[in-house]
Amino acid sequence: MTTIVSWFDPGSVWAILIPWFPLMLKGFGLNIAISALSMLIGIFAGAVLGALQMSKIKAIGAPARFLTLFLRNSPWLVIVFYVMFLMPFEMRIGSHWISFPDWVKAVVAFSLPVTGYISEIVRGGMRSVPTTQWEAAAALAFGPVRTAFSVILPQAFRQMLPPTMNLYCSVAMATSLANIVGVQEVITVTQTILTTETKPGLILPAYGTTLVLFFLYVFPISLLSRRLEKIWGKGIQR
Amino acid sequence: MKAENATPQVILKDVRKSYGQLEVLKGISMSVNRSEIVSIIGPSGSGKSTILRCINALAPVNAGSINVAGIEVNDPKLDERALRRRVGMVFQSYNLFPHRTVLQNIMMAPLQVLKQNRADVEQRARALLAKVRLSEKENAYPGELSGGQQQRVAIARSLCMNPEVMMFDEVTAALDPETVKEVLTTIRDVAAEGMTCILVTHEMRFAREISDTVYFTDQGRIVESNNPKDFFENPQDDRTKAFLDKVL
Ligand SMILES: Nc1ncnc2c1ncn2[C@@H]1O[C@H](COP(=O)(O)OP(=O)(O)OP(=O)(O)O)[C@@H](O)[C@H]1O
Ligand SMILES: [Mg+2]
Repeated sequence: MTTIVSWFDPGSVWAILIPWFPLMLKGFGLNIAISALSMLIGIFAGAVLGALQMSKIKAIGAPARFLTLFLRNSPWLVIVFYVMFLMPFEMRIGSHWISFPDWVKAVVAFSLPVTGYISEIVRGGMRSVPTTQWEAAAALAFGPVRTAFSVILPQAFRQMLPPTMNLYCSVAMATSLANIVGVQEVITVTQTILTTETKPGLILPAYGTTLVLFFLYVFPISLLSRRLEKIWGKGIQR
Repeated sequence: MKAENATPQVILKDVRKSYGQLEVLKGISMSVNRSEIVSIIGPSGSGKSTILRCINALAPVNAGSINVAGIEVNDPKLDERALRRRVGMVFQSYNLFPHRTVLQNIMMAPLQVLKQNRADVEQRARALLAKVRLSEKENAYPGELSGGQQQRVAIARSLCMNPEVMMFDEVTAALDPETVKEVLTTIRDVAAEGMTCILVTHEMRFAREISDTVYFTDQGRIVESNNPKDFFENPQDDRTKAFLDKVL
């Protein structure tokens, strides 16, 4: 009891931190937005790239496989730096100038590795569906693209969902890397707090708060993914 | 049973097919007339399935020519989809789409590939389900059906594309003896309506009863072909005799 009361003593660590909470939450909102948007872009791009990997045409399949490998094996931090410095801060489309704030660049940066990972998840999912399904569809005059989207991917969905959710958890946590390039996300806010407030002993509670924020957000997703994996583990059974 | 108007609808001329070093078809020639029922029998690995897969271009051939209803299958500019909507194929392992109901399985290809009107397709699908005696299962998923029921759905699914030729690849081989009969009945119905049928089968009695012509394959060659009566009662080639001795 005494500790809890002492939290709110004027001049205590928590008394200093609590007024900052709204700003930290706002920063964390940006983390969520960046992760969700980059995931969304990555899922679409990754689905296409994953399907291209399956192509029997060498000139398509080989580059798609190489790109996937490249995107999956580049350190995320390096990708963030590259995108930040290579992407212009504004671009002209027609007569309009569109500007790219830093957080948009972060979205682009994170969507790149996500594309690589999703591409691999999609390829693995499609390969898990027996080739006889491809044949049955082909014998019914389905083309390869329609077969992939109408027959194969829906069957692979259950297998692809848990790893996709796990990937999302990683992306959510990785968005904290964006602080290095100045995006006003929760870590950047925390660092601002630490340089503004001079009270010693603030570091651990401040970072601890961000830790709790990330945990509260990611843990339920991760739990759900585990349960789905258990329930759906044995492929399609109806 | 033999159709009077003997127009060849499927013609294979000296078809050769290799997988890597292994030559699986070593010059297959056959001719199937409109409404003719042809059975292909032979030992395992003799190339029966491969013949069917070459006919609908699931497997490209290395040499020779295949003509199906006027479509040259070995043409590099072959329109595979145009070919495959004329040739239906039913597999030993049914291969229904497990994530779709029975009715959806039947309707998918006519809707998505042929872009036909939904109401028409639905009507046709229901009629076909009635024909294979599974009307009450239209909303079931394939996993809820027995093997024989799944196979009949697969036949209905193929028929809903209105093919001109139907190919059956050992469609009863994976079934319990009791359910074999119901599937054979369905095939008999299809054949009776004048559909050109090519069937690979191990059901000798059925082949004898239903076929106009029986082909015997061994090691990638057609060893012998004849009308069913002579084929079964008076086989010419020693390999045919040995095979029939074993299976009859
Ligand atoms: N995709 C493939 N790749 C390599 N070899 C193959 C392939 N498909 C078939 N073969 C080979 O071709 C030969 C003929 O196979 P096929 O399936 O046509 O025989 P089958 O007469 O249908 O036999 P079964 O009665 O066992 O079904 C076999 O030796 C088989 O191993
Ligand atoms: Mg076979």
